[in-house]
Amino acid sequence: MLLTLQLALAGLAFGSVAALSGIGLVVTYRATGVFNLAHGAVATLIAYVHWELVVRQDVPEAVAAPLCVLVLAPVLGVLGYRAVFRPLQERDASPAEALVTTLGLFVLVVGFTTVLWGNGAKRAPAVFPTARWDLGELTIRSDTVVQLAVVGLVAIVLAVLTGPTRLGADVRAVVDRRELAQLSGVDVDRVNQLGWAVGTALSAITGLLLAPSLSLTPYGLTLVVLETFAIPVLARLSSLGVATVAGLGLGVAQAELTQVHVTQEPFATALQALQSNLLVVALLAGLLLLPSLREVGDAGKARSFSSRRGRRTSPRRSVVLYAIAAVMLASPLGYPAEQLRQAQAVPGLAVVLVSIVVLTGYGGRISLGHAGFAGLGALFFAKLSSGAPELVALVGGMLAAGAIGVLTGYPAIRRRGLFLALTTFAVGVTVSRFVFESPTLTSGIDVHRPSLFGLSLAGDHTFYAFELACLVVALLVVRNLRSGPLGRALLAARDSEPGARASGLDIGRITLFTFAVSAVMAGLGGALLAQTTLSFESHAFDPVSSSLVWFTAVVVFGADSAAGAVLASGLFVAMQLVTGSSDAALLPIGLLAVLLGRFPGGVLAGLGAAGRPVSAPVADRRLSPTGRALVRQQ
Amino acid sequence: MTVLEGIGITKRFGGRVAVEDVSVAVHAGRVAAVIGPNGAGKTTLFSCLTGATALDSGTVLLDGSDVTSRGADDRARRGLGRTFQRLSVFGSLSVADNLLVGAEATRRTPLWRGLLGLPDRRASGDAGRVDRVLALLGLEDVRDQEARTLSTGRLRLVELGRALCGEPRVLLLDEPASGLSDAETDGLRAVLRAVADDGVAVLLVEHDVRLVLDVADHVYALAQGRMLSSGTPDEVAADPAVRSAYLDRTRA
Ligand SMILES: Nc1ncnc2c1ncn2[C@@H]1O[C@H](COP(=O)(O)OP(=O)(O)O)[C@@H](O)[C@H]1O
Ligand SMILES: [Mg+2]
Repeated sequence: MLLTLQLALAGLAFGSVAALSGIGLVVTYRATGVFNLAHGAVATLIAYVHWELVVRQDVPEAVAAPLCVLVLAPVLGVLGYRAVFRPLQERDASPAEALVTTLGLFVLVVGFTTVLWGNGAKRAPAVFPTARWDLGELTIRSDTVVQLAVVGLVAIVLAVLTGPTRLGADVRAVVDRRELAQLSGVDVDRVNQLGWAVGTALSAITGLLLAPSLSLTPYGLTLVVLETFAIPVLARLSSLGVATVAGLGLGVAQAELTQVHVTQEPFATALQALQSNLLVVALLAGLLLLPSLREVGDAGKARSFSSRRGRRTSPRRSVVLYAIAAVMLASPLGYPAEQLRQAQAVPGLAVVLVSIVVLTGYGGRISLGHAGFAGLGALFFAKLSSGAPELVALVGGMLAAGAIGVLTGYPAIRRRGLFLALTTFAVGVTVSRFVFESPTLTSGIDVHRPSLFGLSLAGDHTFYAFELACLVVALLVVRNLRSGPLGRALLAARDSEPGARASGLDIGRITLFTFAVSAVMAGLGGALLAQTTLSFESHAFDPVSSSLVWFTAVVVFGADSAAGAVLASGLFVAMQLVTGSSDAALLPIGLLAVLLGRFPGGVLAGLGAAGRPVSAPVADRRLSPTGRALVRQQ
Repeated sequence: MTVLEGIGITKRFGGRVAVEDVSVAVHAGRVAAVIGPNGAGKTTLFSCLTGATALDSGTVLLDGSDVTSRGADDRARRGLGRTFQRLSVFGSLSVADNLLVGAEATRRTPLWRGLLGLPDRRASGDAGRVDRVLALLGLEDVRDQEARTLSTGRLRLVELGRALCGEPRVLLLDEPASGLSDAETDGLRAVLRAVADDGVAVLLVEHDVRLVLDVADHVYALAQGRMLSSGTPDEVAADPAVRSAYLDRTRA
């Protein structure tokens, strides 16, 4: 009993932080219609600023923390809204575009944090004094009490803000019917600014309170905050009350789970994984079991940033493009082995990025879990190759990735936009936590390079040639996906689902097919990446630093451009070579993604229009009124 | 011969009844029409018949077999073609490709063969069919144009063409004349007659009363989700209940 109470208190400490994070996400979403995927990155940035102020600059805590939470964070939120999200709103961008823009913000903020403070772990100072009071045999920590008080205070403030005041009426009007509120003279802009200010302030609190209990690293803290997505999901993106209860409840449940003991394998391992990943499980379960989220506006399709047209680019131009790419990709074959080795990551990564093009650009589906597919391909290849010929193992790895891809595809048949983005993200995090980071599954793995009919591909030159061959196969598959009846069917399903179904296209079958092809291809790319480094490392297939960054890069370079994906892969590797940091590409990619509102088709489309940004209103003007209505409706 | 039959169809949204206990039948070579004021449940009835929405109770028979639990795509492959009141053309495809999808999709698309780049051997007749339908609807001049650049009237014709390319046995058209010019409506009337004379069963929702009285062999009048009257165009037009619910108001 005493232990249960003590654990409950410990759980409340974490639960209150999780609740604050969840409340912040819901507030921003309800007020602005944007689900802020950069919530965790902002929390991390502010935690670093706080560390810098307190540890390096010796600013007293009583000044530093309020400065971070009450001044810096809200200002950043409002600036971000004005610079990035207001322009999107003004040109009536789809929810999918807003979602990708928050991803861009995530990449940009993480990149900024890494550039300023590096990747090394820091020890963050505690914000609140940590006195302990003994109440009989029960120990109560003062910071837990203060944190609970903060949750209560936030709840009261938000209740007042949305209560029977003029502002409250405005907020409720915007939350209920955005378009109507605008028409009836409500100051939507003010509500939006408030939504961003409150949301970022709450993410800042989250960051400051979480950082001391973890070691402060750019990705580590970010991921923990992203796991609190479970809370807005359980609150169905709407109820602040449910969000508070869910946050506290999950915190307590996670703490109480440590009381449960099982010795029998494999339950012991599973329980252990569950004990440290309850939020991830809640996120995935919540997404799979909920029939729908209460999304603001219609479900955003990936269509709006996938600009592929039915008619192809002129054959002459694509021949020239591919010739240039071929020369660049083949030239490392002429280098000595040492330099060649640095280029070996390019084809493998390119195959993974092209697989995202297949799903997002051609299938019109967002995927934020592709590193999971790639990692499964790598892991199963490595495991199988100890007992089977490498090529068989490679096919096995691809099929394993494909199987998970199909399983992910099932929920995707009915899901779009944010709901799908969160579901794929949750699958990626779950695979990473329960498979890639499981010591029993991933320790002592040897990765070999394949041999082909007795011809070993272990040499650096032969292996690179093999990688290029795999990339060529992937590109041929992509070509087939965009031509003939199959290409037309995919475009039709992307453009209008009711129309496609009425013509006889089976949307479910097409969705599963696209997920299967994409995941198999990602599995191939992942296996190639593992063969490049001759090792399986879980952080190479991280749900945050890989999945989210890769997806953003693909969208930036044109979600429906396979050539763009190959280019993006080259950029990642080249930036790493030039600067020596694997995060160097984050800044340009994040910046371009944030500016995506001004280059709707991606960078290449922007360059294609003679360097002139193609803003959608301009593109729209060429259309008939019906054409515009159609574009908007899709 | 009865091609499509809906029996006792009922559909509610939340607690609100959109269609209640409505029965319709469409025969090969005949044109039937559904009329009724806005919100009468015409589009909802179409959704139930085509499988776009699941119905609460009732039965849908296509060629005599029960398709109530089958999806819209399945019904389309069994010969049910339709157009939408709210346009649903494939905006980024050319007009010809829109029609080609209509021709190809009634067979199951060969996904894995397509992935391997193998040709579709059954595709031989598609191009000719698309050309004939383009000519029939007068769309040859925009054949290679991206669909989204066309006017509403022409897009309705593209949707009709897409449905026709699937060689439907029954064709459901939801307000096909809205947004059409007078000349285009005259063309549509001729096309509808020609399609029916070919042996296709046609069911039509239309606001243009003249068009309905002209082409329909049988008329169903809906109001507030219920069947108000059913019979030949003259019988329905003379029905006092219909006059008060619909016809008078649109003429006034
Ligand atoms: N998806 C829906 N959700 C809720 N109500 C709907 C939906 N579709 C139609 N309705 C309601 O059902 C009734 C019939 O609509 P509809 O079939 O579109 O009428 P019609 O096509 O005859 O104008 C209307 O009251 C409409 O508001
Ligand atoms: Mg209607």
